Amino acid sequence: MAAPETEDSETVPRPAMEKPEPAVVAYWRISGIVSALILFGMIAFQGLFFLWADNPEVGLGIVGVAGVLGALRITWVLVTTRLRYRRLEFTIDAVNLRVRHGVLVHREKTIPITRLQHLDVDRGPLERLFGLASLSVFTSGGRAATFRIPGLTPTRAEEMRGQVLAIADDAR
Amino acid sequence: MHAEADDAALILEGRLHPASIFFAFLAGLRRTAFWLAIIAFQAVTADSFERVVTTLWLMALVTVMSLVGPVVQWLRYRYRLTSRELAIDSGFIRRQQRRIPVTRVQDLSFEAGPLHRLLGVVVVSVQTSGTEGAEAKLDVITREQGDALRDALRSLGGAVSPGHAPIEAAGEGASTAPALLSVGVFALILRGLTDNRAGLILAGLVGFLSQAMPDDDLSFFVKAWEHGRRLFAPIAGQGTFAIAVFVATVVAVFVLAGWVGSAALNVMRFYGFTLREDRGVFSRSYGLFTKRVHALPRVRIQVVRLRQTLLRRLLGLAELRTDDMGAGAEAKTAEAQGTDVFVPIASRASLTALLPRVLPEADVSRYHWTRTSPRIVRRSASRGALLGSALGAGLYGSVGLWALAAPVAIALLGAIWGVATLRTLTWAHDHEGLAVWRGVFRRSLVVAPASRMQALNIVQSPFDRWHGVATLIAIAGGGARVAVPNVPVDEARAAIRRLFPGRPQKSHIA
Repeated sequence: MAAPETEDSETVPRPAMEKPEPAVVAYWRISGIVSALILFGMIAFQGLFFLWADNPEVGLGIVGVAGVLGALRITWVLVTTRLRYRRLEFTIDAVNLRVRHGVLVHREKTIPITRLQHLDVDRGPLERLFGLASLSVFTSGGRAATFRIPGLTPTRAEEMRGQVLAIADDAR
Repeated sequence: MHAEADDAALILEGRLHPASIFFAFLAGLRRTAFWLAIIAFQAVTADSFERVVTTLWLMALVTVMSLVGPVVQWLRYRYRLTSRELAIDSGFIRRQQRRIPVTRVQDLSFEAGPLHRLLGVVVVSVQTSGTEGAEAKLDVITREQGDALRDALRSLGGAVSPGHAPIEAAGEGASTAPALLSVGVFALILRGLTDNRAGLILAGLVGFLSQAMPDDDLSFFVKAWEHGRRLFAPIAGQGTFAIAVFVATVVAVFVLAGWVGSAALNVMRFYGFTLREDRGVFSRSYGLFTKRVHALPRVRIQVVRLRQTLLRRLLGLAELRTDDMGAGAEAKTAEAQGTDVFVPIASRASLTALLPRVLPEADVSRYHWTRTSPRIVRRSASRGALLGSALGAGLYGSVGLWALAAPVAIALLGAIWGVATLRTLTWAHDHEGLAVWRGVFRRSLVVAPASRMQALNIVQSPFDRWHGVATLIAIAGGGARVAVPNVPVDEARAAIRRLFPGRPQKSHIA
């Protein structure tokens, strides 16, 4: 089987891709575990009501299923985060934003900076705990045409914001 | 925080009017009204004074809690306008700094209810050409603040609504411009007859039969059978043949009714359809009872789609649709009013000739068309083999070794389908546009100009990676999508380099 990827990288020199902070792996793990605990904890909590009432079989069943699903979800998160980190890379050249990501389905997104509509720097509570920020660049194409990079240092996020805004400004 | 303020002059800054707490609280109250009502009901029906006090405490607590969010939002919310951008910082738990370049602001809309007017405040929505409608909502600021913001944006050259003026002009002057194309009643009837409404007709049939059946605990089909027998048997003798004739008659009547209805609907909706163009704005006037004049500036057209159902292919007919900026948000109203239909029906030849006038990039003769990767045959066959293996494993218990035939047969079908797809799927691109012809039975031509593209994505499923192909997806404004499946990865990357060249270029449209 031919490997077209190598052919391509030979013909055109691509700018070096940048990676997010390695701390994002820990952040993904913690946030994945927390969100799984909240979601499946809520389901299990529903089960407790049945345990309380005189229907312990249903209650135990719900708690059990929630526990198993929660454990599976957490395992999946723990197993794939490293791979997810390895896959995630991005670059900003003078014209385009480019990001590659996706564990099972690989995605590569190219967005010209001139298409910028607005951009956000977000810092959630957990992100702040890890000293991280994320940058989102929105176009008029909706979610599929949004450039979103998690796991940046706040300074890098602001720097990138300035860089993108400057390019968008110069282009018109 | 103010890192970018040094190279851009601050024009104005401000925060929300304190009344925003009240309005946000009201909005929150509307959401929690149900629960508050339940608590209040508890208080009213309580038999002991102690319980009344507890419920009142609970209500007070809920009220105070729902005030926290609006108060914090009011405390944290800051907006400022520099010569380059509108900046909005908000949020306490989730902090957000939003920047909207002034050049991207398309419109400011003002909204004020009676209560707003009483307090002298206004809700200002900042619209860019993004998908979600308003990109920022100043909810609420004083009318003076709103006016100041509008004037400042206007003096900076933003907040002009380029779409509005031409739309009005076209609406007025629609009759003066010569018609590019008109559609007659006969063509509209043909459109109705060739609409793929088989599913709809079948649903109507089932609906009618289930209404007509007497209610008992038999399953629907048994009921239908029994009912048909009872209804038909006395007239045409007994037996299965009679029932078959009955069922066939009912189906035929429904198909006919569906056809007639569909034709009538099309005539009603698109009667007198005329397409005109005046200085870059298309206007389509149509309708028998509800008359519509729908204006569409060329710059708002994101993607053009020429479509043919199987029946229309046989008759050499096609329809033309366009996705405009609001494709995502207003899809339903567009569908209901037929505004996404650019030309309801015409011969394929005349539509192909019309395409370059709709968008220069949609001129199909400019492109060099190529097939996608022949690997699609292998891909389709191997997927069939996998699917067949799963099916065979399931069947093994009942048919024994004959189950081995399933993967072979389905893989063969997959290969045939792969060949058919390969021969019917062609794509083309140059530096100004991407076009694809696809569909084995129903055919569609989709063209997206590069100037409207917001992103180009390469998507590779594990299956795609196995066969070294990918799907190339162009996302245009409003979320309109053009997908070219089964493209070798290097060709997809080459297309992206051509459509989004690495040199700085002025974009054609805002």
